[in-house]
Amino acid sequence: MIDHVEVRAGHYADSVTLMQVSSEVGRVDGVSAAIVAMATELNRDLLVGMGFDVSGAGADDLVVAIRAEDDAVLAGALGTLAAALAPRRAVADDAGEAPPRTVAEAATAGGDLALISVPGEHAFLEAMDAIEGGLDVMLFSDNVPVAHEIVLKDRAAALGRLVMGPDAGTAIVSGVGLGFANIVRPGPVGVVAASGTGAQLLTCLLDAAGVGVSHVLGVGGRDLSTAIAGRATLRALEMLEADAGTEHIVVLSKPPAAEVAARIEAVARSMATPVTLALLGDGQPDITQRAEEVIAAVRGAVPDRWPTWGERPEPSAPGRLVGLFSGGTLCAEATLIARAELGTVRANVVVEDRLRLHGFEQVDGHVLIDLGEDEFTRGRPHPMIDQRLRIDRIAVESARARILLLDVVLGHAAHPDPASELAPVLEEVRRRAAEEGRMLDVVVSLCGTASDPQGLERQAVRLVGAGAFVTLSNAEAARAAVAIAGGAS
Amino acid sequence: MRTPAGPRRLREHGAAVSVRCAALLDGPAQDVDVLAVFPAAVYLATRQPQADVFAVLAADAVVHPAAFVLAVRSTQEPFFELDRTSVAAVGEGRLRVGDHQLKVGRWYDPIPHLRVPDPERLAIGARALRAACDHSLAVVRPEGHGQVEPQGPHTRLRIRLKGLADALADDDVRGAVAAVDALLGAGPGLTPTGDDMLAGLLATLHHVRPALHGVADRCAEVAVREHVRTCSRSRTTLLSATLLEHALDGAVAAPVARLLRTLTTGPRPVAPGITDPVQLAIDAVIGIGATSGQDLLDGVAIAFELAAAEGMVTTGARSTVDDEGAS
Repeated sequence: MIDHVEVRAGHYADSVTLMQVSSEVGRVDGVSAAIVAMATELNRDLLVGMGFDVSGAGADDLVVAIRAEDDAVLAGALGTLAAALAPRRAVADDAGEAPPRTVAEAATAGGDLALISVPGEHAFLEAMDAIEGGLDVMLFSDNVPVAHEIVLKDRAAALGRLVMGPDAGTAIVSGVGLGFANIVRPGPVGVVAASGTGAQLLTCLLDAAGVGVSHVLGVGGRDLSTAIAGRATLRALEMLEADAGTEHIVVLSKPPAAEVAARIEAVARSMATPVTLALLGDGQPDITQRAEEVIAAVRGAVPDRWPTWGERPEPSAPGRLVGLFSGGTLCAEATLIARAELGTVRANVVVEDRLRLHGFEQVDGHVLIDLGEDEFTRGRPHPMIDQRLRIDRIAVESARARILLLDVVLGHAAHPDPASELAPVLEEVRRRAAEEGRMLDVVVSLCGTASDPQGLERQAVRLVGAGAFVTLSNAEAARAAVAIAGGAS
Repeated sequence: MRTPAGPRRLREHGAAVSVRCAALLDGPAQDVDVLAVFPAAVYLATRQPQADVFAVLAADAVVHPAAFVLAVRSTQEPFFELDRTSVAAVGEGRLRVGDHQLKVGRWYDPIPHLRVPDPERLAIGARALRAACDHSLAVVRPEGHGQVEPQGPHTRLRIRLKGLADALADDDVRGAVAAVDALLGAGPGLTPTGDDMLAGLLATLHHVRPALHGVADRCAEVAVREHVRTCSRSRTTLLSATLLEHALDGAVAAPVARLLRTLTTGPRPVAPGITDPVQLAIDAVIGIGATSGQDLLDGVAIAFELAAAEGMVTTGARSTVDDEGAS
């Protein structure tokens, strides 16, 4: 086994790019570990924990760490690395001009928006630089302190700008997707989302019904908390109210703080543009139902049935539900639906502390896990990009599961062909269950559009081929899985 | 021994695609013809009698209302190997031109969504546009962009354009249609000056001339639109006729959309040291093509003047009614 560590001083690429590159290099046969990342303290700790020596690398340096079987494998992995990084460099070099050195300098060259994706502790200065330079900001970085978030959002509001984030994974501004976003058509619906995958699900459902979006403004998962008090949500509502192309607005969030929800509701009622509040919570309509409300409101045709692929499994013997999600809001919605029908479920989102799962804690009963939570993504690509963690988990959990509930999220920045990785695993665990005389069904919530690069239909067909029942509606997938877990009545 | 060459590998691109191309892209596959190839643009046409014309553009080209826009710039010579004999086909979710295969990376809408501006904003916009157009008459620009000869053919066409605006204001159907006839196809180039002026006028009227009194007093505009829609394909180049058809629906090139948006939604807060956004938007329009930008700007300006004049009359009339109602 060979360890290759290379420090590229002064090289920079954003974290989404590097996660994709790491994943690509890690998939080379014979490579057992591959991290291509900025050498931040967090990443250095991770690399040291994996046994790599990264002494001398600083936060401004790109570090390449590869563990390979032999020299030939390493050479292949380095070739993959070069190919994965090369096109991105070519684009940057193409203009033949020296790129701006600061965000403020870039702002003077024109443009409306800065996408900031530096480590959280460095994000404040960059974001403030952009706001002062007259730009809106999408802050992809996580680990930004709450106090910084408040100052940034207040300053932005004072200057008539918007801060989307921190930890904003999804936005579509004037048709341009930022972060994780699906290819949806332009239309009259504006979305303010404190939830990335929730926004993806909603826009995909609207697209399937022929309803497009004007803008999707991600405001960061904490925006509707007591501390942040909806600062960016209120500003985004103001901007969409002023936008002539927006005829209907949706505010989408995981369960918000009650007093913040009340304030948003009061503001929404005072606006000329109609607003649908899609705030998840016990007893609240799910995102699919909210999508149907919105489609009707903009005079679209509400589908009689949302698309599904494959045969819906018939409930028979009840059993354990295991949900393994890459999308936090998709997991939250499924957990709310499961809890309402099945009673106690253990999860790492939207449950009270006594029912909260920590890591891969082994518990009996129904479990739903968001693998995109920080505890699983520290130093590791997000599961929407790299499914290895989930694939390992499917192999473990399927032995004690009656029904597996999964999500697959398509679109820009997501895994290029997730079904091709999941399908063989699903075939294998279903084959093993059959050999052992166990019943194991699989339901997949597939979030995507026909235009997405992975191909919605192609992904669905591949998953159905592996024995899964696939739905576009996450709520429908959750209900199908819950019905099986609950057994025939 | 030489082995026979296999099929050439397609270069896959994700492109920004106009929603106006959605039906073509999602429809059944069909062969299309290459009309023209430039360093930053390739123009294509379907083979039906009423051909659809659309473009494949480099990232630095002016964004056309019906186009596939690549992420690569013209300096990378993306169309180097293409010519009018290149094989091209569109449909089933992809466009193929020579070795390029394009799929949608994102959609864009070439129709700007604008609220009808109030009379004051229309008047301010009209003044800014008139100043820019007059400035182009007075200034000789060495590079030739937007250059206008005071007694040249451009000025003659401007007079015809003014005649069209006057006929529209008077709702003079015969005069308006005659003025359109004098403009359609007039001037040199792939998009003649008269067509560009008409496109600027018609697209802008679509956005800024609200139906204040219904269509009863809009017979001339309705007639002009119908005349352009039915006659343009026999009177001018196919590309120009297609652009006029887009303009009838309010679909315009991106710099014109930006100008309309800036004029109707007002200047955004300007940071110190940043130039007036209206002037920047006007400059961007003037930068289109050799003279197309100036010609489009003339059309936009005259449409604003027409709408502003009507807005002032209507506002006056409405306030009188309100006063009477209140008394």
